[in-house]
Amino acid sequence: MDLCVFGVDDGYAEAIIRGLRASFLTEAQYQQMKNCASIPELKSFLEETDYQNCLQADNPQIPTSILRQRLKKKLADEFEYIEAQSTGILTKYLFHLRCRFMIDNVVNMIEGLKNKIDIEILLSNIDPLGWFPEIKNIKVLEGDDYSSLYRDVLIDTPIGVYFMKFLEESIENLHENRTLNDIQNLFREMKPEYIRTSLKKMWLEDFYSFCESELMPTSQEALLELLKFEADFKTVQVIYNSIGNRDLNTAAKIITTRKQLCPTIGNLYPDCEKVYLQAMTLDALREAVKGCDNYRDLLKDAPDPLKREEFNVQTKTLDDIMYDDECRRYALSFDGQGSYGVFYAYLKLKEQEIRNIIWLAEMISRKLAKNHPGWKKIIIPFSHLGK
Amino acid sequence: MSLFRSEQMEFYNLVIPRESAWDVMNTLGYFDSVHLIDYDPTLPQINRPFSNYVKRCDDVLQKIELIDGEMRNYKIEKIYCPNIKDLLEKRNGGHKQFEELEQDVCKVADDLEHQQQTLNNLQEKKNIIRENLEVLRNAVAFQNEDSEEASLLGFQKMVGVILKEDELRFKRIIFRITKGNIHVEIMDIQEHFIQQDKRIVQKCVFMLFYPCGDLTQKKIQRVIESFSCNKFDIPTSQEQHTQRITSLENQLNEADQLVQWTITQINQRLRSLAEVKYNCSWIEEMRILVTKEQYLYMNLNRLNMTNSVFHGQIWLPQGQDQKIQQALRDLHGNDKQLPSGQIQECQTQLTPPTYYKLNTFTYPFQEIVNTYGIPRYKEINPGLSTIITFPFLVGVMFGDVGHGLLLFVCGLYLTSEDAKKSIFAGLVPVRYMILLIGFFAAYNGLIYNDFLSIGLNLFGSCYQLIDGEYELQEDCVYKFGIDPAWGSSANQLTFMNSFKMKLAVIIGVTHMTFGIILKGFNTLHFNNYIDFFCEFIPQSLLLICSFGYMDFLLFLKWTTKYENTNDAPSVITTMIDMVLKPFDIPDKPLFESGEQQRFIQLLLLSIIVLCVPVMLITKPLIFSLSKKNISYQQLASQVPDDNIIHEQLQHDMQKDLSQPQSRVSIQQHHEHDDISELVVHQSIETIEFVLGSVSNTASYLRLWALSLAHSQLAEVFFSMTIAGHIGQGGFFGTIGSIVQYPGFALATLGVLMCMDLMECFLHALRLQWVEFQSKFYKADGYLFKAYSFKNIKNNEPED
Repeated sequence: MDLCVFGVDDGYAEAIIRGLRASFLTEAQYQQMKNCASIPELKSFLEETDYQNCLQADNPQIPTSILRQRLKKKLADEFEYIEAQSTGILTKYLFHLRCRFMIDNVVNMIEGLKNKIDIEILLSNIDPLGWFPEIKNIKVLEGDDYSSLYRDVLIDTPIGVYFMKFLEESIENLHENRTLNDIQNLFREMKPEYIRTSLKKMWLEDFYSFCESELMPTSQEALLELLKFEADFKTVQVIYNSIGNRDLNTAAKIITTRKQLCPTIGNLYPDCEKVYLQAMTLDALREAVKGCDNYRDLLKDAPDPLKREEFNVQTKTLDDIMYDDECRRYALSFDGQGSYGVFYAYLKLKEQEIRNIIWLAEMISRKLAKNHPGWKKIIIPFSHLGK
Repeated sequence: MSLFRSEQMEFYNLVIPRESAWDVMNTLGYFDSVHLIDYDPTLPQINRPFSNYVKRCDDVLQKIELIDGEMRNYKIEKIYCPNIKDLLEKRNGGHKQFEELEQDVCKVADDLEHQQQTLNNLQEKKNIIRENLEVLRNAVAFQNEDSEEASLLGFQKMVGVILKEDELRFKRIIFRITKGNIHVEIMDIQEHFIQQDKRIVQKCVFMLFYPCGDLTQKKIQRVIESFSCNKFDIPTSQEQHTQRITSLENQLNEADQLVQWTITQINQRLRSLAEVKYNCSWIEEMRILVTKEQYLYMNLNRLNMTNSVFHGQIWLPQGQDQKIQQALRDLHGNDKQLPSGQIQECQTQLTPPTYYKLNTFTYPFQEIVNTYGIPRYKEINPGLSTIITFPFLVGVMFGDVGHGLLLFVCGLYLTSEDAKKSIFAGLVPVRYMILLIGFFAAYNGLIYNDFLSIGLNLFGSCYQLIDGEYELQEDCVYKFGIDPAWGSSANQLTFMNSFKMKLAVIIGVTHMTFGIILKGFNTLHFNNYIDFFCEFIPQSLLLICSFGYMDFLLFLKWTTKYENTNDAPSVITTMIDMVLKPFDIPDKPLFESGEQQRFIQLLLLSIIVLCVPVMLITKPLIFSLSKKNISYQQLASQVPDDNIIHEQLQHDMQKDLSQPQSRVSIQQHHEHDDISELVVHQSIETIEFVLGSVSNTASYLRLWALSLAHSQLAEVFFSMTIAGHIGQGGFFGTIGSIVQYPGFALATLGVLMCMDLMECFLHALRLQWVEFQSKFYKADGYLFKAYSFKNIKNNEPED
């Protein structure tokens, strides 16, 4: 049924997205990019692709950070355009998508301010996709007083809800007779990365329930599937990264942290929860997730986190493996008809493409030899479909 | 006969030493006759030798565009270059010229940017002064007793300017931070501010009253900073206050003057760029010169560079080589030191491009043909006959003297100079087509005797009204077209339909026969005698013996006078009986005796029946017989280029397979394909032609249908609007027809002159493309694209 009426409201936005499909770089183009000898060459190559207009005004020796900013700006512009063309639930949905970037931005700002980086630099580095007017006011933050930051600035913003939940949860987790000092200590020690992970977890759960309650069946089907995998990946990542982590010295602490950070959705939750929370080695983790889909195969090649010191550029990390599998799923979802999955997939795949370009730009600027394994470390969107 | 068949082309190798590459290309660009072949179309532009020059030209063009945009902002008129060739010849400064141009343009652009920057800075400064002034002025409003009291109570105040759009957010944050212990006053600034990025924004002055306290002050400070706004101090005493205001006002005046002065400066500068140097504005001149450079380098990129020598392949129309060689020899004048480019004629297997010399008259008609497909090299160009047949077919459908003449007048207007500047400029390229359509519509209207749905009694009708009955006069024939007396007869519609239907079929068969004859000429020209005998002859016989015979019967019936029209034989029945009952003697013969008619029809029918197998079988038979005598190897060597490329491709693809094996298998495969493909092809062709001859003839009935629709529409519009009032006459009739006239005029213009004309045009297009061109037209050529500076256009908006 919803296939019949999908086009009524969302047909135009979807059509634009389908048109933008042509802007993805092809495998042949990646090959040519790998052959570029210098950054100016890469830039002039990109000027022959869809990225032409966003790079034209820059000088040939473009630093990678600016390059990334330009590419992201283009993506943000496209996204904004689509958002402007959308109506009703789709607008809400697209806005939800942007919240993820807002979280990133806020956490980056907090991190930057903590490290006393100039606000102008921070503002110039924010992801345009997650821009919102209040972001400038994060400067108000004093010391580690996140609650006042929330109270004063973030309360109005779309991600205020997540931040509030986060604060509540972290305070609740303290022992019963907590004092104001305890709370301050807690926040002082808290790593921005921790904030990021928990906020994103909340966002993911919230987005999941949004999709579950508001979207039409076809969109739901496509999106819940994707989100479940994303949640699972997040879980696996959290567990994986906490194995052998020196900051978490006691087993109890590991488990509470894990419990806080692992999303309460996905294929692994709640069936495998008990098992994976206890997993203290990679093998145990593999055992925990073996019941689901192809997770076991994915983890088969992952390097052991206990030997983290031995990692180098050549190692195919867990992230790489997961991005690869995610990319495949998004590409499949992009080709699905009549669902909102296409917007999500587009965003994800474009992000991957930007990551690829930046990676290659880094490789080129470091003048690494062409037989360096790093050159192979890009995941090309839609390349999985041919196989 | 340049439009009948495409120009004879010759293939040349072009060799240019690197030193004189620019000069040679520059020379060739003035000839309108060089078709450069890209040596490797798959090679990306970026890997070509001159890609950086192309890029630089792009950059310069972009700068010119920037300057141009600035000129548009300042509303400065410029003059577009009227004669590009002339300009290029005058400003021909050799290959070093580009560097100068680049420098000039960059300098101007940089200067302009600098000036803009200054202006922006000035404006920013002015904005700040203005903000300050506004703050002070507004502060006066607060210098009342309240604030006196407040300051007594130990309140402090802070003043600044923020963006209007941030107002609500600002208030909220301030409120939250101080938990409401603060008083915020906001005052809008009436005038807009122009931001550096040219955005126009509204700003407002805020004033905060807060209780003393270091912590609050710090916090507020931070918030204000985070809104990136300017903060101003307020002098304490009244005296200082007024002093500051006056000094600021003075500053503002000064800044204002400076801004004005800078604007005038920029204006002057831009005006100087719009000045005419040769025959157009400097900026336009630059644009054209740089575009030319870019064009030249882009084409130079199509050549292959090896060891500082450029190799290229070009097509030239016959007879151009002498001129070009002469020009290349004269290139360096007496200076024999510098080597020049050379062209050498050589043999090739490549298909030459199709090239016609067109003019404004032939252009739209050739365009109609090209839209369907570019003629194959040396094939008969349907464009030539289209010049007359196409407007004629439209005219048959649009037949009306009044509408035709109106269209003709429109065409005449379009041919005048005025039209180029009017809103109809878009129609100017097709003006001659409109003219011809108008002419033929009027001509056909005369034949139908239809003037805005009224018959014209031009030559004196042959019928006379006697006692309410029309009587035909003895031996009287109406001179031209249909007798107007038919207009008042009861069976007018039946009569006209029968006449137009027959006319349509006659025109159709003639048109198609003409197409088949063109095919005959094509086969003779390409020495393809198999096609001549196996396709052309049977095809023309088939059409002439079937529908050609029908046309003959039509004429026969028209020329015979039947005393009682009910006794007249039906052409349709005759044609059906000819196929279904070939051996019966017709009871109502069209000929003098039924016996005679039966004999002729039997003869024709047997020819038709014989033609089909000839078309179907002979050609594949001859091919397979002749092929058997030729061994594979010979065949492979004979089949040109195309085959080799194909093989190469296959070869590349199957690299890992053992080579000799794969090659043989491919050849065998190919061989097998050839014959079976030919059989399939031929049977399709035959079926298509036989069925097509029926359906295509029927398709020409659209000539009748459209003309019927046209005349009926015209009649309806006329009778529904003014006809009644004209008949009524007198005062009220006059008033009535005057009132109704706009309706009639608008309906005629909108429905008939625009919509119906468009419809007739489309149907004629279909007849041209499907029914006519399918008879002979291969349309698999490619266009000759001259490397010529004529392709450079000034970007005048009207064009």
